[in-house]
Amino acid sequence: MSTDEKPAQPPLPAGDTVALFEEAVRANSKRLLAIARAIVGTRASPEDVVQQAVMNLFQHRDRYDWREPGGLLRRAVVNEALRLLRQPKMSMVADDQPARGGGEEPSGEMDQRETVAKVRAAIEKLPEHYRSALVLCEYEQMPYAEIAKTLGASVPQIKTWIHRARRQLAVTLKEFAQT
Amino acid sequence: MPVLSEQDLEQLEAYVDGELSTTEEDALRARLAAEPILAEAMRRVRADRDIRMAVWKGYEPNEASIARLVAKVDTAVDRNTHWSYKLSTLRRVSAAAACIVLGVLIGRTGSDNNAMVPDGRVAQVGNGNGNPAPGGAGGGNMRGPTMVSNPIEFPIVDEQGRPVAVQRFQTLREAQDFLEELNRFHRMQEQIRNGGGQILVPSERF
Repeated sequence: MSTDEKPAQPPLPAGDTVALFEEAVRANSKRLLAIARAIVGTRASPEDVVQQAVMNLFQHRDRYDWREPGGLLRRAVVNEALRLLRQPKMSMVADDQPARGGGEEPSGEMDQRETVAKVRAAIEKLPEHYRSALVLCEYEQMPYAEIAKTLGASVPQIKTWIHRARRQLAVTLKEFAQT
Repeated sequence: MPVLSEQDLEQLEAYVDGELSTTEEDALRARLAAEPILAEAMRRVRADRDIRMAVWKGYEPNEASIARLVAKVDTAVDRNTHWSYKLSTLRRVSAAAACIVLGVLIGRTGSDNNAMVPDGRVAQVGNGNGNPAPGGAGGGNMRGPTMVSNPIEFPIVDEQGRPVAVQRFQTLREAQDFLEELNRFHRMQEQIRNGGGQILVPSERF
Protein backbone atom coordinates (compact mmCIF):
# COMPACT_ATOMS: atom_id res chain seq x y z
CA MET A 1 0.00 0.00 0.00
CA SER A 2 1.43 3.39 -1.02
CA THR A 3 1.58 6.31 1.38
CA ASP A 4 -1.35 7.94 -0.37
CA GLU A 5 -3.60 4.92 0.07
CA LYS A 6 -5.91 4.95 3.00
CA PRO A 7 -4.80 3.52 6.32
CA ALA A 8 -7.42 1.67 8.33
CA GLN A 9 -10.24 4.19 8.50
CA PRO A 10 -13.95 3.81 8.23
CA PRO A 11 -14.90 4.07 4.56
CA LEU A 12 -16.62 7.19 3.38
CA PRO A 13 -20.01 6.98 1.72
CA ALA A 14 -19.67 6.83 -2.05
CA GLY A 15 -21.12 10.31 -2.49
CA ASP A 16 -18.60 11.82 -0.07
CA THR A 17 -15.71 10.28 -1.94
CA VAL A 18 -16.86 11.76 -5.22
CA ALA A 19 -17.39 15.17 -3.64
CA LEU A 20 -13.96 15.09 -2.01
CA PHE A 21 -12.38 14.00 -5.26
CA GLU A 22 -13.95 16.87 -7.17
CA GLU A 23 -12.91 19.33 -4.50
CA ALA A 24 -9.33 18.02 -4.55
CA VAL A 25 -9.19 18.51 -8.32
CA ARG A 26 -10.57 22.03 -8.06
CA ALA A 27 -8.13 23.01 -5.32
CA ASN A 28 -5.06 21.62 -7.07
CA SER A 29 -5.83 22.18 -10.74
CA LYS A 30 -3.70 25.32 -11.06
CA ARG A 31 -0.46 23.71 -9.95
CA LEU A 32 -1.27 20.41 -11.67
CA LEU A 33 -1.74 22.21 -14.97
CA ALA A 34 1.53 24.08 -14.43
CA ILE A 35 3.40 20.83 -13.75
CA ALA A 36 1.87 19.17 -16.78
CA ARG A 37 2.73 22.16 -18.94
CA ALA A 38 6.31 22.22 -17.67
CA ILE A 39 6.82 18.54 -18.45
CA VAL A 40 5.02 18.10 -21.76
CA GLY A 41 5.70 21.56 -23.14
CA THR A 42 3.83 22.00 -26.39
CA ARG A 43 3.86 18.31 -27.21
CA ALA A 44 0.53 17.67 -25.54
CA SER A 45 -2.33 19.55 -24.00
CA PRO A 46 -1.78 20.06 -20.25
CA GLU A 47 -5.56 19.90 -19.72
CA ASP A 48 -5.72 16.50 -21.40
CA VAL A 49 -2.80 15.28 -19.32
CA VAL A 50 -4.36 16.38 -16.04
CA GLN A 51 -7.84 15.17 -16.98
CA GLN A 52 -6.56 11.72 -17.93
CA ALA A 53 -4.44 11.50 -14.80
CA VAL A 54 -7.23 12.42 -12.39
CA MET A 55 -9.77 10.21 -14.12
CA ASN A 56 -7.36 7.28 -13.85
CA LEU A 57 -7.34 7.93 -10.10
CA PHE A 58 -11.11 8.28 -10.08
CA GLN A 59 -11.49 4.73 -11.37
CA HIS A 60 -9.91 3.55 -8.10
CA ARG A 61 -11.05 6.41 -5.92
CA ASP A 62 -12.03 4.21 -2.99
CA ARG A 63 -8.38 3.28 -2.42
CA TYR A 64 -7.29 6.80 -1.56
CA ASP A 65 -7.96 9.31 1.16
CA TRP A 66 -9.28 12.35 -0.70
CA ARG A 67 -9.26 14.45 2.41
CA GLU A 68 -5.49 14.61 2.04
CA PRO A 69 -4.69 14.07 -1.63
CA GLY A 70 -1.19 15.42 -1.07
CA GLY A 71 1.25 14.10 -3.60
CA LEU A 72 -1.21 11.65 -5.09
CA LEU A 73 -2.53 14.00 -7.75
CA ARG A 74 0.91 15.37 -8.48
CA ARG A 75 2.40 11.92 -8.93
CA ALA A 76 -0.45 10.89 -11.20
CA VAL A 77 0.00 13.96 -13.39
CA VAL A 78 3.77 13.50 -13.62
CA ASN A 79 3.39 9.84 -14.57
CA GLU A 80 0.74 10.61 -17.16
CA ALA A 81 2.84 13.43 -18.63
CA LEU A 82 5.90 11.19 -18.92
CA ARG A 83 3.80 8.39 -20.38
CA LEU A 84 2.50 10.72 -23.06
CA LEU A 85 5.98 11.94 -23.91
CA ARG A 86 7.09 8.37 -24.47
CA GLN A 87 4.40 7.70 -27.05
CA PRO A 88 5.88 7.36 -30.50
CA LYS A 89 3.68 9.88 -32.24
CA MET A 90 2.79 13.21 -30.78
CA SER A 91 1.52 16.33 -32.42
CA MET A 92 2.41 19.78 -31.27
CA VAL A 93 -0.30 21.78 -29.58
CA ALA A 94 -0.65 25.53 -29.47
CA ASP A 95 0.61 27.33 -26.42
CA ASP A 96 -2.62 28.37 -24.79
CA GLN A 97 -1.04 30.81 -22.35
CA PRO A 98 -2.00 34.35 -23.38
CA ALA A 99 0.76 36.85 -23.83
CA ARG A 100 1.02 39.17 -20.88
CA GLY A 101 0.95 42.88 -21.31
CA GLY A 102 0.22 44.54 -24.56
CA GLY A 103 1.37 48.06 -24.34
CA GLU A 104 4.58 49.86 -23.60
CA GLU A 105 6.71 48.18 -21.01
CA PRO A 106 9.77 49.40 -19.22
CA SER A 107 12.89 48.07 -20.92
CA GLY A 108 13.92 46.17 -17.79
CA GLU A 109 10.74 44.19 -17.78
CA MET A 110 11.05 43.51 -21.49
CA ASP A 111 14.54 42.21 -20.95
CA GLN A 112 13.33 39.94 -18.22
CA ARG A 113 10.49 38.71 -20.38
CA GLU A 114 12.95 37.92 -23.13
CA THR A 115 15.21 36.14 -20.67
CA VAL A 116 12.29 34.17 -19.31
CA ALA A 117 11.24 33.25 -22.85
CA LYS A 118 14.77 32.08 -23.66
CA VAL A 119 14.99 30.01 -20.51
CA ARG A 120 11.57 28.57 -21.20
CA ALA A 121 12.71 27.48 -24.65
CA ALA A 122 15.85 25.99 -23.11
CA ILE A 123 13.82 24.13 -20.47
CA GLU A 124 11.71 22.56 -23.19
CA LYS A 125 14.85 21.21 -24.81
CA LEU A 126 16.00 19.46 -21.65
CA PRO A 127 15.58 15.69 -21.47
CA GLU A 128 12.19 14.87 -19.97
CA HIS A 129 13.59 13.38 -16.76
CA TYR A 130 15.82 16.44 -16.18
CA ARG A 131 12.86 18.70 -16.75
CA SER A 132 10.55 16.68 -14.50
CA ALA A 133 13.06 16.58 -11.65
CA LEU A 134 13.75 20.30 -11.94
CA VAL A 135 10.11 21.41 -11.94
CA LEU A 136 9.30 19.18 -8.97
CA CYS A 137 12.32 20.54 -7.08
CA GLU A 138 11.88 24.25 -7.80
CA TYR A 139 8.17 24.74 -8.51
CA GLU A 140 6.75 22.13 -6.17
CA GLN A 141 9.65 22.51 -3.71
CA MET A 142 9.76 18.81 -3.10
CA PRO A 143 12.67 17.20 -1.29
CA TYR A 144 15.00 15.03 -3.36
CA ALA A 145 13.77 11.85 -1.70
CA GLU A 146 10.17 12.55 -2.65
CA ILE A 147 11.14 13.47 -6.20
CA ALA A 148 13.03 10.19 -6.42
CA LYS A 149 9.93 8.31 -5.29
CA THR A 150 7.71 10.17 -7.75
CA LEU A 151 10.00 9.55 -10.70
CA GLY A 152 11.04 6.06 -9.70
CA ALA A 153 14.72 6.95 -9.43
CA SER A 154 17.36 7.03 -6.71
CA VAL A 155 18.25 10.17 -4.76
CA PRO A 156 21.77 10.38 -6.29
CA GLN A 157 20.19 10.14 -9.75
CA ILE A 158 17.79 12.95 -8.92
CA LYS A 159 20.62 15.12 -7.64
CA THR A 160 22.57 14.48 -10.84
CA TRP A 161 19.58 15.23 -13.09
CA ILE A 162 18.79 18.47 -11.29
CA HIS A 163 22.41 19.58 -11.31
CA ARG A 164 22.89 18.81 -15.01
CA ALA A 165 19.63 20.51 -15.91
CA ARG A 166 20.75 23.65 -14.13
CA ARG A 167 24.17 23.54 -15.79
CA GLN A 168 22.62 23.31 -19.22
CA LEU A 169 20.29 26.19 -18.49
CA ALA A 170 23.14 28.26 -17.02
CA VAL A 171 25.09 27.77 -20.23
CA THR A 172 22.08 28.89 -22.22
CA LEU A 173 21.61 31.97 -20.06
CA LYS A 174 25.29 32.82 -20.32
CA GLU A 175 25.17 32.59 -24.11
CA PHE A 176 22.11 34.79 -24.13
CA ALA A 177 23.77 37.35 -21.89
CA GLN A 178 26.76 37.51 -24.22
CA THR A 179 24.67 38.17 -27.35
CA MET B 1 41.68 32.89 -10.65
CA PRO B 2 40.31 30.02 -8.67
CA VAL B 3 37.50 28.14 -10.35
CA LEU B 4 34.75 26.60 -8.38
CA SER B 5 34.48 22.86 -8.58
CA GLU B 6 31.35 21.02 -9.62
CA GLN B 7 31.16 19.76 -6.08
CA ASP B 8 31.05 23.33 -4.77
CA LEU B 9 28.31 24.23 -7.24
CA GLU B 10 26.32 21.16 -6.27
CA GLN B 11 26.65 22.06 -2.64
CA LEU B 12 25.44 25.58 -3.30
CA GLU B 13 22.43 24.24 -5.16
CA ALA B 14 21.71 21.70 -2.42
CA TYR B 15 21.86 24.53 0.10
CA VAL B 16 19.33 26.57 -1.87
CA ASP B 17 17.16 23.43 -2.22
CA GLY B 18 17.25 22.91 1.55
CA GLU B 19 18.92 19.54 1.25
CA LEU B 20 21.96 20.12 3.46
CA SER B 21 22.17 18.99 7.04
CA THR B 22 22.59 21.58 9.79
CA THR B 23 26.28 20.81 10.06
CA GLU B 24 26.78 21.13 6.30
CA GLU B 25 24.86 24.41 6.25
CA ASP B 26 26.99 25.86 9.04
CA ALA B 27 30.16 24.85 7.22
CA LEU B 28 28.96 26.36 3.95
CA ARG B 29 27.96 29.62 5.58
CA ALA B 30 31.42 29.88 7.05
CA ARG B 31 32.94 29.40 3.61
CA LEU B 32 30.56 31.93 2.02
CA ALA B 33 31.69 34.49 4.55
CA ALA B 34 35.33 33.74 3.87
CA GLU B 35 35.39 33.13 0.11
CA PRO B 36 34.12 35.95 -2.12
CA ILE B 37 34.17 33.78 -5.23
CA LEU B 38 31.95 31.25 -3.53
CA ALA B 39 29.65 34.06 -2.43
CA GLU B 40 29.49 35.39 -6.03
CA ALA B 41 28.66 31.90 -7.27
CA MET B 42 25.88 31.69 -4.70
CA ARG B 43 24.49 34.97 -5.96
CA ARG B 44 24.41 33.62 -9.53
CA VAL B 45 22.80 30.37 -8.37
CA ARG B 46 20.01 32.31 -6.66
CA ALA B 47 19.57 34.68 -9.63
CA ASP B 48 19.28 31.77 -12.07
CA ARG B 49 16.80 30.12 -9.79
CA ASP B 50 14.68 33.30 -9.66
CA ILE B 51 14.54 33.37 -13.45
CA ARG B 52 13.50 29.76 -13.57
CA MET B 53 10.85 30.43 -10.95
CA ALA B 54 9.43 33.10 -13.26
CA VAL B 55 9.29 30.45 -15.97
CA TRP B 56 7.47 28.00 -13.69
CA LYS B 57 5.02 30.69 -12.69
CA GLY B 58 4.51 31.44 -16.36
CA TYR B 59 3.31 27.88 -16.82
CA GLU B 60 0.45 28.45 -14.44
CA PRO B 61 -2.85 28.51 -16.30
CA ASN B 62 -5.34 31.33 -16.52
CA GLU B 63 -8.73 31.07 -14.91
CA ALA B 64 -10.38 30.02 -18.15
CA SER B 65 -8.11 26.95 -18.44
CA ILE B 66 -8.78 26.00 -14.83
CA ALA B 67 -12.54 26.34 -15.30
CA ARG B 68 -12.37 24.29 -18.51
CA LEU B 69 -10.47 21.50 -16.81
CA VAL B 70 -12.79 21.41 -13.80
CA ALA B 71 -15.83 21.30 -16.09
CA LYS B 72 -14.36 18.44 -18.13
CA VAL B 73 -13.55 16.45 -15.01
CA ASP B 74 -17.00 17.06 -13.52
CA THR B 75 -18.63 15.88 -16.75
CA ALA B 76 -16.44 12.79 -16.88
CA VAL B 77 -17.20 12.00 -13.22
CA ASP B 78 -20.94 12.41 -13.77
CA ARG B 79 -20.81 10.15 -16.83
CA ASN B 80 -18.77 7.57 -14.99
CA THR B 81 -21.04 7.46 -11.94
CA HIS B 82 -24.16 7.41 -14.16
CA TRP B 83 -22.89 4.38 -16.10
CA SER B 84 -21.62 2.71 -12.94
CA TYR B 85 -25.14 2.95 -11.50
CA LYS B 86 -26.72 1.62 -14.71
CA LEU B 87 -24.27 -1.26 -14.93
CA SER B 88 -24.81 -2.05 -11.28
CA THR B 89 -28.57 -2.18 -11.83
CA LEU B 90 -28.13 -4.31 -14.94
CA ARG B 91 -25.92 -6.72 -13.03
CA ARG B 92 -28.51 -7.08 -10.29
CA VAL B 93 -31.32 -7.71 -12.78
CA SER B 94 -29.21 -10.17 -14.77
CA ALA B 95 -28.25 -12.04 -11.63
CA ALA B 96 -31.89 -12.28 -10.56
CA ALA B 97 -32.95 -13.48 -14.01
CA ALA B 98 -30.16 -16.06 -14.06
CA CYS B 99 -31.27 -17.36 -10.66
CA ILE B 100 -34.85 -17.67 -11.84
CA VAL B 101 -33.87 -19.54 -15.00
CA LEU B 102 -31.59 -21.80 -13.03
CA GLY B 103 -34.32 -22.49 -10.52
CA VAL B 104 -36.77 -23.42 -13.27
CA LEU B 105 -34.27 -25.73 -14.92
CA ILE B 106 -33.44 -27.42 -11.64
CA GLY B 107 -37.12 -27.75 -10.86
CA ARG B 108 -37.91 -29.34 -14.24
CA THR B 109 -34.97 -31.70 -14.01
CA GLY B 110 -35.92 -32.64 -10.46
CA SER B 111 -39.54 -33.40 -11.34
CA ASP B 112 -38.44 -35.61 -14.22
CA ASN B 113 -36.15 -37.53 -11.88
CA ASN B 114 -38.86 -38.17 -9.30
CA ALA B 115 -40.07 -41.41 -11.01
CA MET B 116 -38.11 -44.51 -10.11
CA VAL B 117 -35.59 -45.21 -12.75
CA PRO B 118 -35.98 -48.80 -13.90
CA ASP B 119 -32.95 -50.98 -13.61
CA GLY B 120 -31.07 -51.84 -16.70
CA ARG B 121 -32.49 -55.30 -17.15
CA VAL B 122 -33.44 -56.35 -20.61
CA ALA B 123 -37.18 -56.62 -21.18
CA GLN B 124 -38.06 -59.37 -23.56
CA VAL B 125 -41.29 -59.12 -25.39
CA GLY B 126 -42.86 -62.25 -26.63
CA ASN B 127 -45.51 -62.84 -29.24
CA GLY B 128 -47.75 -64.99 -27.10
CA ASN B 129 -46.23 -68.26 -28.35
CA GLY B 130 -43.42 -68.38 -25.89
CA ASN B 131 -40.97 -67.30 -28.55
CA PRO B 132 -39.56 -63.88 -28.60
CA ALA B 133 -40.68 -61.96 -31.65
CA PRO B 134 -38.07 -60.11 -33.60
CA GLY B 135 -38.19 -56.35 -34.01
CA GLY B 136 -41.16 -54.02 -34.16
CA ALA B 137 -43.19 -52.42 -31.49
CA GLY B 138 -44.18 -55.03 -28.97
CA GLY B 139 -41.47 -57.45 -30.21
CA GLY B 140 -37.76 -57.92 -29.64
CA ASN B 141 -35.93 -56.92 -26.49
CA MET B 142 -36.00 -53.58 -24.75
CA ARG B 143 -33.07 -52.53 -22.64
CA GLY B 144 -33.39 -50.23 -19.69
CA PRO B 145 -34.14 -46.59 -20.34
CA THR B 146 -31.45 -44.20 -21.43
CA MET B 147 -31.97 -41.03 -19.47
CA VAL B 148 -30.41 -38.65 -21.92
CA SER B 149 -33.06 -36.01 -22.15
CA ASN B 150 -36.78 -35.57 -22.47
CA PRO B 151 -38.31 -37.70 -24.04
CA ILE B 152 -37.04 -40.93 -22.47
CA GLU B 153 -35.81 -43.42 -25.03
CA PHE B 154 -35.89 -47.21 -24.83
CA PRO B 155 -33.83 -48.91 -27.52
CA ILE B 156 -35.48 -52.09 -28.74
CA VAL B 157 -32.90 -54.72 -29.66
CA ASP B 158 -33.10 -58.11 -31.36
CA GLU B 159 -31.65 -61.42 -30.14
CA GLN B 160 -28.21 -60.31 -31.20
CA GLY B 161 -28.47 -57.08 -29.27
CA ARG B 162 -28.80 -54.92 -32.32
CA PRO B 163 -31.14 -51.95 -31.91
CA VAL B 164 -34.13 -52.34 -34.19
CA ALA B 165 -36.33 -49.52 -32.90
CA VAL B 166 -36.65 -46.90 -30.23
CA GLN B 167 -39.61 -46.55 -27.92
CA ARG B 168 -40.02 -43.01 -26.65
CA PHE B 169 -41.86 -41.81 -23.58
CA GLN B 170 -42.44 -38.26 -22.42
CA THR B 171 -41.76 -39.00 -18.78
CA LEU B 172 -39.96 -41.57 -16.72
CA ARG B 173 -43.30 -42.53 -15.15
CA GLU B 174 -44.68 -43.54 -18.56
CA ALA B 175 -41.54 -45.54 -19.32
CA GLN B 176 -41.67 -47.24 -15.96
CA ASP B 177 -45.35 -48.12 -16.36
CA PHE B 178 -44.66 -49.57 -19.76
CA LEU B 179 -41.74 -51.63 -18.48
CA GLU B 180 -43.73 -52.93 -15.55
CA GLU B 181 -46.51 -53.97 -17.88
CA LEU B 182 -44.02 -55.56 -20.20
CA ASN B 183 -42.45 -57.49 -17.36
CA ARG B 184 -45.88 -58.56 -16.15
CA PHE B 185 -46.58 -59.80 -19.63
CA HIS B 186 -43.30 -61.72 -19.62
CA ARG B 187 -44.16 -63.33 -16.31
CA MET B 188 -47.56 -64.30 -17.60
CA GLN B 189 -45.94 -65.69 -20.72
CA GLU B 190 -43.58 -67.72 -18.56
CA GLN B 191 -46.43 -69.02 -16.48
CA ILE B 192 -48.25 -70.07 -19.60
CA ARG B 193 -45.13 -71.71 -20.96
CA ASN B 194 -44.64 -73.62 -17.83
CA GLY B 195 -48.19 -74.20 -16.77
CA GLY B 196 -50.11 -74.00 -19.95
CA GLY B 197 -53.07 -71.74 -20.64
CA GLN B 198 -53.44 -68.52 -22.64
CA ILE B 199 -53.51 -64.87 -22.00
CA LEU B 200 -55.43 -62.27 -23.80
CA VAL B 201 -53.48 -59.08 -24.36
CA PRO B 202 -55.67 -56.02 -24.88
CA SER B 203 -54.90 -54.75 -28.33
CA GLU B 204 -54.95 -51.13 -27.25
CA ARG B 205 -51.93 -51.72 -25.04
CA PHE B 206 -49.65 -52.29 -28.02
